[in-house]
Amino acid sequence: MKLWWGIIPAMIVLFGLLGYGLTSNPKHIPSPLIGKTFPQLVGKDLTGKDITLGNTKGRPTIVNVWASWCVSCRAEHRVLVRGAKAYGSKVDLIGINYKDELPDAQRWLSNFGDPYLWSYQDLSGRAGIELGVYGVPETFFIDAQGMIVKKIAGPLTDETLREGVELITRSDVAAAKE
Amino acid sequence: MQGFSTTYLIELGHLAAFAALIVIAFMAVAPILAARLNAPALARSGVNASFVVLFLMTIGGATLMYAFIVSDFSVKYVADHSNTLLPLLYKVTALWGGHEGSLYLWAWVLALFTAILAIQGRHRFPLRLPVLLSVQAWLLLGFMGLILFLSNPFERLLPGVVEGRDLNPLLQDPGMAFHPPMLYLGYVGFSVPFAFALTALITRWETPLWIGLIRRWALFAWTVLTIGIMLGGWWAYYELGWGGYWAWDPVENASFMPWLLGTALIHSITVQENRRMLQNWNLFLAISTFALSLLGTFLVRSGVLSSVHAFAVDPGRGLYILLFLGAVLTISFGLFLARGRTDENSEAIGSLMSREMLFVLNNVLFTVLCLCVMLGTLYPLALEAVNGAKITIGAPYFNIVMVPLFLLVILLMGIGPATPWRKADVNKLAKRLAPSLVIGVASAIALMVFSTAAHWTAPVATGLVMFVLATIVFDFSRNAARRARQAKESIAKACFSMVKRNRRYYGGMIVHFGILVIAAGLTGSGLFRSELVVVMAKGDVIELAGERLRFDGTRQFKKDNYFALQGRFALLGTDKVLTPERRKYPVQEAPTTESSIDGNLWRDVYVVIGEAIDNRFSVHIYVNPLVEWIWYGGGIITFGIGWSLSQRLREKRVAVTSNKSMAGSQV
Repeated sequence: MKLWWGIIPAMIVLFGLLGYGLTSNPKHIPSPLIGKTFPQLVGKDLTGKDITLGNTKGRPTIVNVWASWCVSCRAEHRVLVRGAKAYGSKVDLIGINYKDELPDAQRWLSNFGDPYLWSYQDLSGRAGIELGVYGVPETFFIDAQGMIVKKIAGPLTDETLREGVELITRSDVAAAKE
Repeated sequence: MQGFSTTYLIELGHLAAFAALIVIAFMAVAPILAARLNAPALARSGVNASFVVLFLMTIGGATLMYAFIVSDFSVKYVADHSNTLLPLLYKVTALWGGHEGSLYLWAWVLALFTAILAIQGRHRFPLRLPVLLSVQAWLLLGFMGLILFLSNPFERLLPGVVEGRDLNPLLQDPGMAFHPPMLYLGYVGFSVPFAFALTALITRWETPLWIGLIRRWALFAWTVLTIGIMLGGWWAYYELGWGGYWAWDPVENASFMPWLLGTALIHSITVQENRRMLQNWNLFLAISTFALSLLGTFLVRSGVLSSVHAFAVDPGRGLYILLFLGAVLTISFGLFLARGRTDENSEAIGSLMSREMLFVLNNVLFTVLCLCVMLGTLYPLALEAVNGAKITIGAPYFNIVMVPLFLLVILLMGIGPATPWRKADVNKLAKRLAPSLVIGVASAIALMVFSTAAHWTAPVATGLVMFVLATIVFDFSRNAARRARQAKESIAKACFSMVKRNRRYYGGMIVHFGILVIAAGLTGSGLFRSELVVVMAKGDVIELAGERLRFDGTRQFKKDNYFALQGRFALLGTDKVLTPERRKYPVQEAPTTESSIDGNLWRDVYVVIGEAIDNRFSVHIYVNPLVEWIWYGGGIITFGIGWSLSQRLREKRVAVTSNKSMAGSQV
């Protein structure tokens, strides 16, 4: 019954796998949208004006998905307000107000400040489906060609925001050189 | 105001849990110390220690439960998983709604089973008991260490918050309230066969002397695991709103693997009891089944696999569980390899056509099934390790691999019980099975003629189910007729006394019948389901699979801790009204869908209401045939095992022989 010794390699493989699994982050799922152009979405902003989301060619843009009911958006909001001041000359910051109530969203912006150029009304969450949003906040970094370069799930920090801005402004420079 | 008394109580519970840890550590080393110091009294102290541990851990659990009931948000775990608006039932079940509490429940069940084992063993196997309790104590030590040092449910949040973050709305459901405890009872129940296997290896206890003792534990663990898995499927079916009950999600697979190997174990125990065979195989199964229970806990609790069951991911905990699992597996399989294969004096299989051979086939099938599930669950991880690709393996792989194997299992279920031990007369057996075979083939053909079968498995599964059903019915009526003739009883009385006398055998047959009912339910709902997504306005009527539904509009309301939008659908031709809901739980910021189901024996009409589009609603309708049979089958299985377990006579006999032989050969 030499077969039983097969337990040993089987266990080594199992533990190797599980150990590897521990070091990798299962929450990190690459977005299929990276490297694609941002989908165009026609709709309204929070004041009711007709706008088109995704018509961003020519200028690097950050699209941030937020909601007034989202607690971690509150923490992120300060980062965005600071970021809008610091990078506003180089990039546009556009919001997607996700599955929210309009009065709540407006109150939120008047209370905490509005860092966004404008915010797309996505009360039904359909734009969210289009973009594969599965949690708020989520942020897309789009270069001057309208291409999604990076996506961050979860709240931004000053650090990740700066890195993102660098990424899209740099590729902007690189593209201009070509 | 949370007064002094609550604060005091939770600290008391915390203290009790720490005290339990110390007693457990003592229990774990007691037999080793006893042997070193030559103090047999020390070894016997394990029994009382196990009672003390259970008592202390119950105090710990009770103070936590109390903190939930009075909403003491100075306890972090309570603040994270409860809310003052939460209904009382869910305040209590929120105790195991999160990582820390569910681990505590795991450990508490382990302490409970250890104490029961101590009571059981005091007179029946006193000499081996200290080692058994020590094995259990080492397991408990591992879990309590994890709980108290890395996932402490007693951790305070001072100053406390005013309002808790509420329980995940998906878990605010009766099915989900009892799904985890049932799974844990099953997982932990398999620790007892495991402890017996290790004790046998350590003390060189011959398998035939204890195999009868683990049978009841294995059956109990298997049954509660079955109920736990069923509750999970039932919950997924009516709560998650996708019309299905099983998705081959990694966490589902984690509970399914020990179930499959546990099924092999309860069958191979029977072989060993009757024919004294497969001793090493039984040791291996007892160890592996529990190892898979631990692996299941690891997969769920460490966040290694991405899954819909998103639990807290904490690398520290993951590493701890991995090391713990590694230690348990290395020691137990190490002992097995070093000592397990010495007593190869069992009988060889005489004939390929014998009941023991069919039992072996059953074991091979269930082990292969288990390996296939494991492969499908871990393959994405392996692929990622090799080339970084992220994939998920879903239903298509599992359906292709598992369904044919399960069909073979059903076939075996028909032939096995009809085949005698040692050597079957093939002609006699064929003659016995022929009428059932005719019924099976006829029903498969009938299904092909009268329905447009979706898939080749539909007629095959139907034929096999009818074949096995016929074997059970024929076998039963043959035996009843014989008994009526011999005992000169009426047929009805013969049936009754037969089932009453031979509870183990007929209990098993009842379980097999339950499995057939489930197989029929799976076939019906898996292969004959109709599904439709439509946008409906008030007054619209839609027809699907002969069922006509009229949409009668929606209403909105607020209840306890959520807001709801409820649709009304009249099922035309009946007075039934279906009311699916979409709920929003403001504290958890999570929306849920509540499907509405009109069920009867033949089909479920299942409605989910979706998003509103200008006063029209997208509606998802399913007609699922026979789906309720799955739940009824679960009930039948539970009854069958209960019936089988109610026969204790044989086991007492085994226990007596084991004590006698032990007295003869002093350990």
